Amino acid sequence: MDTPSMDTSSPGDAPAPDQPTRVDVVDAPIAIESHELGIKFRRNRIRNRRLSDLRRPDRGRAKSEFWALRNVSFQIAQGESVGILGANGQGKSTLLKLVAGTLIPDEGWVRLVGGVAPLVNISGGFKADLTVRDNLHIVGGLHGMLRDEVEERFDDIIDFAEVGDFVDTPFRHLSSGMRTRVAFSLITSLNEPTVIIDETLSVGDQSFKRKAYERLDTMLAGGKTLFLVSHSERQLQRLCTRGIYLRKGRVQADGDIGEVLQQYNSDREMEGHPGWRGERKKARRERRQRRRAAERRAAGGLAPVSDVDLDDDDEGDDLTGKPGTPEAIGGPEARP
Amino acid sequence: MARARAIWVNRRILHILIIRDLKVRYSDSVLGFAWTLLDPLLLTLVYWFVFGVIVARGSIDEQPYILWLLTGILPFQWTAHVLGDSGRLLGNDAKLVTSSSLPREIWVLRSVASRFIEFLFTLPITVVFVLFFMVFTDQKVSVTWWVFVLPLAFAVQFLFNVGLGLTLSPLCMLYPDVHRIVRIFTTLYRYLSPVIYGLGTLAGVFADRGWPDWLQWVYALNPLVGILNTYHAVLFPRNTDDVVALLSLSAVLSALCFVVGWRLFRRLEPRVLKEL
Repeated sequence: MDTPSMDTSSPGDAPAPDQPTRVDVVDAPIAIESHELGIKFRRNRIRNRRLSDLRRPDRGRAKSEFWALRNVSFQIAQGESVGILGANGQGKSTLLKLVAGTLIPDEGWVRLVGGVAPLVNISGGFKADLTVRDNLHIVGGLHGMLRDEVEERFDDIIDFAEVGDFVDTPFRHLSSGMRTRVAFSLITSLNEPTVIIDETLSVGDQSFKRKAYERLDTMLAGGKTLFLVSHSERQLQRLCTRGIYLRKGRVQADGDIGEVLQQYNSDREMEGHPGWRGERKKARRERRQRRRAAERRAAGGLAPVSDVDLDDDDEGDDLTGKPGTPEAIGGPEARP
Repeated sequence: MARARAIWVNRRILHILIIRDLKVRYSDSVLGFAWTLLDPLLLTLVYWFVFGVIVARGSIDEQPYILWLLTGILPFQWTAHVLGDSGRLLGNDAKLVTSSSLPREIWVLRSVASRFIEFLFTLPITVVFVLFFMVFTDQKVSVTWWVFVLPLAFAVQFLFNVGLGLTLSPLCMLYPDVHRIVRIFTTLYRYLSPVIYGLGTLAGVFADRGWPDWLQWVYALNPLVGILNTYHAVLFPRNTDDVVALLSLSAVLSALCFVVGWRLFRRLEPRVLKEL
């Protein structure tokens, strides 16, 4: 892939949180630019605001508000593929929403040059009662495709999603796998210069996951800008050349993906988290335990309850195809 | 202004959304499109029976009363539906709203526009009744020149509805109480507007009770007064009040409502998005 040269600073001499490592790309046109971006949320009473707040909106506010992101500045050149990483609750998804324009910042600004193909909530616009055909036209239109463009790419979208027999079936009769395949296929057919991917993106079974990855590779090779939010090491290394590490709502490091990952991992270990290496070890151990329990059950004996892993660790933060998360997008090499 | 341009640029998407609304509404139920006609028709019949037959026993000035009701209820339902939509406009399609960066005003416009089309679909009911009275009865029913003012009345009501949607949809999202208040208010509003009675009748009541005239102008501060009065004037010129003056007042008030809504929406938008 053709990535513009960038001046990466070593995260070894880690900067203070207030002075994030900056990457300045000068020689390529800008795709995404963020300037002193900040957004705050309320800590409590998210929904049940009282009417009296209308009159005195500032009462008791200072205490209950926090900045989910602050002073976030970066420039992403066209054709770059950038991964946003950080632990849970450090502002990754919020940043993604700000970039996609589905949240409005309280401070600063973020600018996107050209359109965006958002692989976020991909099946959001699809209506269960309408047929696949109607849905493709409507959702394609919502994302800016012209009628002719939908017609033109229609067969490709259907072929890629492997739903050839269901073109005139109401969307709700499709299996959930088919639905995500149709949605993924449509969104990736948008001919927008920037692709935004959320870590929660799920695309279906293993074989489709492989196809999905190939398509993403093709898109990146074609010079698209990638903005990926993830904490899957494998996914980040597979797709990104640059990493932006968010910690407590600020840019902690910004530079070559390998180096940023290294810093992220050492930070995690310092904070008492096992880091990826540890988590992989844990996953292996659990798999072993489950296998042993199954063998025992097969042998006729009842497995002791303590050996069965009840907490299947589905919401573990590694989405690279661990057992229990077959739908999460991960490297095709993650599982055979 | 930039915002208005952004909406204009996305008018094609607005068009798609409206088509989708109509498709979804008619795709699934057995009666489909017929519901659009049945719903206001049944409502009208109930009102006609209660007020025209039971309560008034033929002493109503506006005759034939069922036509009077139709010309009031059908357009009123447009506004009532917009009020009903406003509570879930942003919440219902939250997934869609949060997966695109379209100007959020589009979701309001889409509700008002698709409800407008629904309203237009119900107009044949009135036409059928008018023809029925013209052909089969000796009641004098005639269509007046005011029929040419209808597009203007539609435009004013459209503006008013957009204003209501822009004001209420973010408020309903942020304060659930507002949604409940709106629901109750919609029922009251039907009786506060000249739907089942006319301004002529109302003026008579005011005179009988000796209430001051300026109260009638307070009453006319409801933008729907001038709008509904115009609709009624198409079939009942004698039972309606000064059409031009009242419609002008409505136009000014609707524009005001729109400006307030536009500003409020812009102000509350960042907070609404955080809630979705």
